[in-house]
This record gives sequence, C-alpha cells and structure tokens, in this order.
Amino acid sequence: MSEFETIIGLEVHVELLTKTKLFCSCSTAFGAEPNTQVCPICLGLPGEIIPVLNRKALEYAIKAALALNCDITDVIDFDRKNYFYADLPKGYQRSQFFNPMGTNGYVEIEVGGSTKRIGIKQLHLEEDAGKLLHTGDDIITSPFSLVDFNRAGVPLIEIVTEPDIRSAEEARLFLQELRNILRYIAISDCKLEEGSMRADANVSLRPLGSNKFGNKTELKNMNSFRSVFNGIEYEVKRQSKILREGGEVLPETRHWDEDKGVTKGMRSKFASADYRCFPDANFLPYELSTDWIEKLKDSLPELPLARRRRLMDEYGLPAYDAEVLTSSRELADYYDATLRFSPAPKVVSNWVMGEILRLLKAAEIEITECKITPENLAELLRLIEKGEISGKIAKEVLEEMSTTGEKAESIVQRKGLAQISDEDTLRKLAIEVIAANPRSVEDYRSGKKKAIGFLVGQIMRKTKGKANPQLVNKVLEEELNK
Amino acid sequence: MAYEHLEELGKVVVERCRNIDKESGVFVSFDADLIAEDMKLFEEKLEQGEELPLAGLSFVLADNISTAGIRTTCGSKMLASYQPLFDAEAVSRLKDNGALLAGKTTVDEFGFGVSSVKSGAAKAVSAGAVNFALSVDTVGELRQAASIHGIAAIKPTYGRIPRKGVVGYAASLEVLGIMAKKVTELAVILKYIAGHLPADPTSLIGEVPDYPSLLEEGPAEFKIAVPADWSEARGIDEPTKKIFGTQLKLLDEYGFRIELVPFSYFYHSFLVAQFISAVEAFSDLANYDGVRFGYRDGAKHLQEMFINSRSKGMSNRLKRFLVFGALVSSKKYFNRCYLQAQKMRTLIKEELKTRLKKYDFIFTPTVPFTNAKTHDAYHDSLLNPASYYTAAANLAGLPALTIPIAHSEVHMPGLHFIGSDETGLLQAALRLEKEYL
Ligand SMILES: [Zn+2]
Repeated sequence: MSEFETIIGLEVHVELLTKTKLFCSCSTAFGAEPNTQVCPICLGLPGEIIPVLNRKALEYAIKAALALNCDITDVIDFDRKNYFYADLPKGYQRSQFFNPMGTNGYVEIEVGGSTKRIGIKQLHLEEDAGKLLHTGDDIITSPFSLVDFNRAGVPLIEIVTEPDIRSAEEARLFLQELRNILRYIAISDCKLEEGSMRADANVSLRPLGSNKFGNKTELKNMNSFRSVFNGIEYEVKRQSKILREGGEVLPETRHWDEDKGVTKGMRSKFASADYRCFPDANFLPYELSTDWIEKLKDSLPELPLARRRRLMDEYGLPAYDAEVLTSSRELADYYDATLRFSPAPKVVSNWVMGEILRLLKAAEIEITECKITPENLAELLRLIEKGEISGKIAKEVLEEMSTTGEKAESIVQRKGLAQISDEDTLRKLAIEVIAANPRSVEDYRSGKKKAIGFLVGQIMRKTKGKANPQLVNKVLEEELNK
Repeated sequence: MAYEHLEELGKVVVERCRNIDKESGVFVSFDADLIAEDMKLFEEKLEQGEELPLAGLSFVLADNISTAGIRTTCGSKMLASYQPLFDAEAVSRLKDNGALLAGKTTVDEFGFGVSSVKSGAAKAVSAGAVNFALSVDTVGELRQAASIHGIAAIKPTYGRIPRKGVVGYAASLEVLGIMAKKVTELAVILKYIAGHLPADPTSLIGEVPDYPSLLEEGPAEFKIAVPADWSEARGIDEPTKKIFGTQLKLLDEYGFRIELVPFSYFYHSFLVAQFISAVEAFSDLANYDGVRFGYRDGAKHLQEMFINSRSKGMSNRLKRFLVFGALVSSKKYFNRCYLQAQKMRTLIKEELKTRLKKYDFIFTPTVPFTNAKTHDAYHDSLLNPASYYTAAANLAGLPALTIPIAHSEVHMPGLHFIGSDETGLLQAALRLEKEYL
C-alpha cells in the first residue's frame, strides 16, 4: 500500500434551509405526500418557463461561499445543464456553470496535530431533481417507475474541492468540518442520512513521488460519515490491488454498498454525457451588490476553527475540550454564555462536556432546548466552589434543574441539601460511628487505613450525603487517632 | 360601437369565423357557446358600471399561447390534447379589459417557421373575422405571416409584453406580437398588454406609454437608413426588388428621408438567429419527454420512452432543427459555432444600435419574396431566408413593425422597419398608412 499516494477530491451537495424552492414559491418541507409541493414552474409545464430567483437561497449561497473563504462572483447568472431523465422536469438543470457563486476558497482541518488546508475549487447554486422510485431493481428492468417532484427545484449548493485530500480519514475530517461550518452559518441542516448533505468522492492513486494523476473513480451513495470513510478505504485497497498486479483502474462511477462493504461499478446508462451547458436565456444576469456582500460578510458568526482556537488561547482549554465544545454553534454559545457568569473555564468545560451532554443525550434534546440556563449552571458551580454542596449532590441538583428549570440554590434549600460543614455536628456523628463499629476501628488502628472509608460511608448515610467529605475525613482521623 | 349589444356582435364574430374556417381552415379550437357566454359576461360587467375599454374588440390567439382549460396544441402531436392550467398573462390582460377571445388558430409546430397555410392568426385578421391576433415572433414569424396576408404587425421590444404562458422555442429571441389591419389597433392593444409582471423578471420594468394618444405626434421628417445591399438578400425575387425599389423613391415625398447605408453584420442575422434558436430550441423543448404531460409512446424502459415519444410526437422538420441545435451546442462545435454565433449576435446588436443613433428607422422589405409559394418552398429548409430581414430585430431585442405597402394579385409585400421604441414605430407607421397607402 505504501508505494501509492491517495488522491481524493470531494463533490458535496448541500440542501439549503430555505422555506421555498429556488425558482418558484413551492414549499421545501421534507416528508410531504408525493407531488403535493409542485407547481407549473417546477414541473416544467409548457409556457411556464420563467424563473424568479429565491433571494434567500442566493443569500445562503453567498454566506456559504464567504464562510469557505471563496472569491465571490460579481455577476449572478444561471446556465442549463441539459440531459433527459425522468426526475428532471425541464430536461435541463439550472446551475451556475460559467459564473459559480464562489471560487478559490479553502477549509482548514486538523490532521495529526497540524493544520491542513483543503482547497475549494468552486461553490455554485443549483436546483435539485425529483426522486424516482422503481418497482424493480433499476430503471431499465422495472416494469414501471414512480416519480415524486416535491424535491425538484429545491435549492442546493455544490461544493467542489481541489484534489487535496490524501486519505479516507482526511475526507471524513473535511466533511465534518464542512458540515460544522455550514451549520454554524445556519444555511443547511447537513443531514447525510436524510440526504440534505450528499458527498461523492473522486478517488485515484499514483506512485509515491509522481505528480501525474492516475485514473479516478467516482464514488457515490455514501450516506454517513462512516460510509464515506469505509467506501474510500475500500476503494483505495481495490485500486492499489489492481495497480500492484499491473492492471489499469477503469475510470467509472462506482456505488458504495453499505451492507456488503464493497464498491460496485454502475451500469452506464448514458455513456459519457455531453451536457451542452449554456446560459439560460430566461434568467437575466445581474450584478451583485458589493454592499450586500460586505453586509453578509459582517453578519457571519465566528466559525468553528476560529472558535476552537479562541477557546484554547483565551481559556487555556485542551484541544479535546475545544473540539467537543465547538462541535455545534449552539453548544459553543452555551459554553461562552456560562463563562460570562463563571471565572473557571476548565470547570465549566468539564461540566458541559460531562453532565450537560449526558443529560441532553438521556432526554434526547438539543442544547437549545435545555432548561438549565448558563447563569444557573454557573451558580451551581459556585455552590460547589464555596463548599455549600458536594459534587455528588450537585449532580442530583443539576438533574432536577434539567427537568424543572429551577435555580440551584432554591433546590438546595427546598430539599435541605446544603452541605453539613459544622465541625461539632460532624464530630458528634464520628464519635457515634466509631462506637458502633469497633471492628472497623480495630482494622484502622492495626494499619488498614482503608477501613476509614467504611466509617465515612456511615456518616454519609446518616447525613444523606450532605456531610462535607473533607471535614468528615478530618474529624474521623482526629477521633480515631486520639 | 356598431352593434347595440355585445351579444349581437358575438354572433357576427361567430359567423365570420365560421366562414373563414370553412374557406381555409384557420381554427384549432373554436367554441360559439363560449363566445356567447363571454359576451354575456362582458355585458353584465358593463351594466354594473365596470370599465371595459376593449369591449367590442375580438381576437384570436396562435395556438402556442396558453389558455386555461382550452387546448393549446402548439401545432404538435406532442400536445394534441394538452390543456394549460392558466391563461397567458397577455390573454388575461385582454380579457380583463373586455376583449373577446374568438378562438385558437393554426401554427407551425411550436411556432417554428411560417408556412402560409398554418398562419391561421394572420388569415383570420386579414379576412376581417376578428380585429386583431396575438402570435409569437422568434425570428420574424409574426411579421412574415402578416406580410404574406397583407396586414400590419408589431413585434415589440424584448420583454415589453410578459412571456408568461407563451410556449416558445427560443427564449432569448421570442416575444409576443400583435397583428391587426390598422396601426391604431396595434397601438391600442399594445397599451393594454405591455408592462412588467413580477412573475416574469424578463419583462421590462417602467411605465407603459399611452401609445394611442401619442400616435399623431412625432417629427415632421424621419431619417431612414436602408442597408445598402438590401437587394442582395438570399432568395430575393425580382418583384420584391422592383416593388421595394420603387417605394423607396416615393417615400421621400411623405417626409421619409431615405439613405442607403453600409451594414457589415446585418446580412448574417438570419443565419446567426438560426444557430442560436436551434440551440435554444434543443433545450426549450426538452420538457416534452412524455413523463408528466403530452404524448407518450410505449417503450421497454425509460430511455426508450423518451426516444419513442419524441420521435413519434414531433415532425421530421422540427426534429431536424433540434438535432441541428444539439450539434451546434455539442462539445465539438460549441466554440466553433455556438460561441461564434453569440459573438455575431453582439456585433449585429451593436451595429443596429449605432445606426439607430443616427437614423430613426431601418427600412427593408419584410420578406425577400413576394410569393407565398416561394415562402412555403423554403419552409422545410434549415437555412430558410424568409427571416433574412426580420431576425436582426430579435437578435437585438429591438422593436420592429411591418405594414403592407403594395397590393398585387400574387402577394402583398410588407415594408419592415426596425426602430428604437414602439412609440416611434407606430407614429411612422400611422403616417405611412394615412398619407401614402
Ligand atoms: Zn413549484
């Protein structure tokens, strides 16, 4: 394997979160009855040909291009990519062929402790096709096929990377970072499983040290980050086997079969299509306002990488913490908000990454639905810090806060959970416990220092966990050593 | 109004339409009951005090303009039973103002080309069955049909009339145009159907001039450029040379100062338009695949269904044109043909605009041949010179107008002029109509 270098380029389609389609006012809602979100325009009916561009989609595409550090086109126009297919109502797809929205951008990923830049060749806005449902295996052998045009005309952006990716792991990291960025700017939900993010990979190998590209295959049908990784891994192995045996890789489209864990060559239905791309005369080109672009640029939030770096530089968080906390914009916002009320970044990080995420997962909710406000979380941590409650009690309080939204202090008071830090009270209890457990006392005194644990436990039981553990230890030791 | 009641007028329209249809097969859809109903409705509206400025005027539509619930066949087997869901925007505007739709008339398949037999709209107007007609002009079809049948027609600026509901074949060239016998009628109708429609961003923004009230205005003299080599047109016949040559000399008397002016690119316009319209047609007609509507032929699988449906649903003449468009836009010819044609288009546009800075209009014959038979003989040709004089206006998006200039037994040739705006064209045309014809 090591005699080859892997070259990967990705083509990623992302559905935009607009309420309506790219060129008509039909809804884009997911999961509606087939062919209920259609109109003469997105069905390509005769005479219903003139597109009215969805300005929100344009805005989202520009934001995406800006977030991926692209140069933005000065002219907006659309071209037609012509081909016949049953899910393509007009016989052509509107796309930006000659003037893509963005070019020449990049995304930075962290690979093996260092930063790597993956070039973005271009980003363009286009319309999606409908969905075909075959009654048999495929379109050729099926006695008939059904088609749903609800998706036809839904706005997509296609992001094409430079062939800068060198491994399946880098491909996965890139996609995760891309998804993170696009979610940060809130233009797509990027769900691979639902198809709102779809990635195809161009994979080829070349002998190490060579600068010529080998024949590439285009991998399709990878519906999760795991299948992107596995599909590429498999394809790299398959190609290197062919090359080692002196064979030639066939340039073709291959399907990733998740169940069987293999890629399969697809029957070419339309051999080497010539899409005859040319401008769509029904769309009058116009110049983009630079003011608007500047405004959109200013409106972009802090992006994941910058945020990760800030958390590490400003708060001294470890890379792992920064990574977890910035995995969504909402979580990072939550962390930042909590820090406005708390002076302890690492403590907050531990609690957010640990208890908060655990509670969210158990309740199957998002951080935005969490009832524990950042301010209340900070208050709880302050109670621990001041020794008013123990860490263990704090977890119980937090759980209660997550269901009721109540403040920590009021729960502690209402339930009488405040820590017992009164030395006299604890000493009295220690004396009682020592008297009642001569066996443990004997063990302790004969050198089995661990036996004190049992005695601590007894005190905790009597105080329902509220006793200050450090203080309990201290008075017990004092009494035992008398 | 000549008739006391619109319902009475409706009956007259019905009878005239029936006569012309019997004589030379004009209609694809014609419904006397519908006419009676519409007229009754207009009567009621008038009685209720509603204003219907076009009440009393009747029109026909070429059958490639959408009408809700009325078959719109585009002259093709592909759409033989197709019923649109909506009226074309121009049609709703006419109806809203009280004009009566008398029927849908024959067109060449998808409006591509003009044969004298299929230009039903021009026939109906020429025979006086209706006051005016709407038809699509892509490389000059509207103006050529008007010329063949001895009536006037205006092809407005690109986008002046919204195209919503027009089933065209070349989006960057096609416009809706109006045919009528009188220039005043052209002006009135244009006033009511012109103007921006938000659902059609290619339609022009801006206020629509009150054309009829401006008709009598305009300069005392017009400066006219005639392309110096006009008589070298491909396919031009002797009668056209003679008639147009004679008229040019006479026009001076009526305030039209004629100058023969050199043109470099104008003469190539019909070929350039042929290349561009073929490429656009290849794509604009790609929605006719048998999947969602229209003719569908049996097949073993999808690709075969496309092939069979399109093979049997379209005529050989149209398919040859589409294949030509596919070839011109293919990888092999894209740079050599398509891009060159686009460059020529820009040059033609610039040339016309430059000339129109110095001259008010560019005059030519409308068609290079006076005889309808010659016209039909060229009909099947991919290099049909019928649009020799007309296509330039489509390439440049400029308005143009044709009016009949002489009446011979064989054919009534039209005078064609390209201008900068519709107001000027209509003023000059009215001047010619009143003082000269
Ligand atoms: Zn729609």
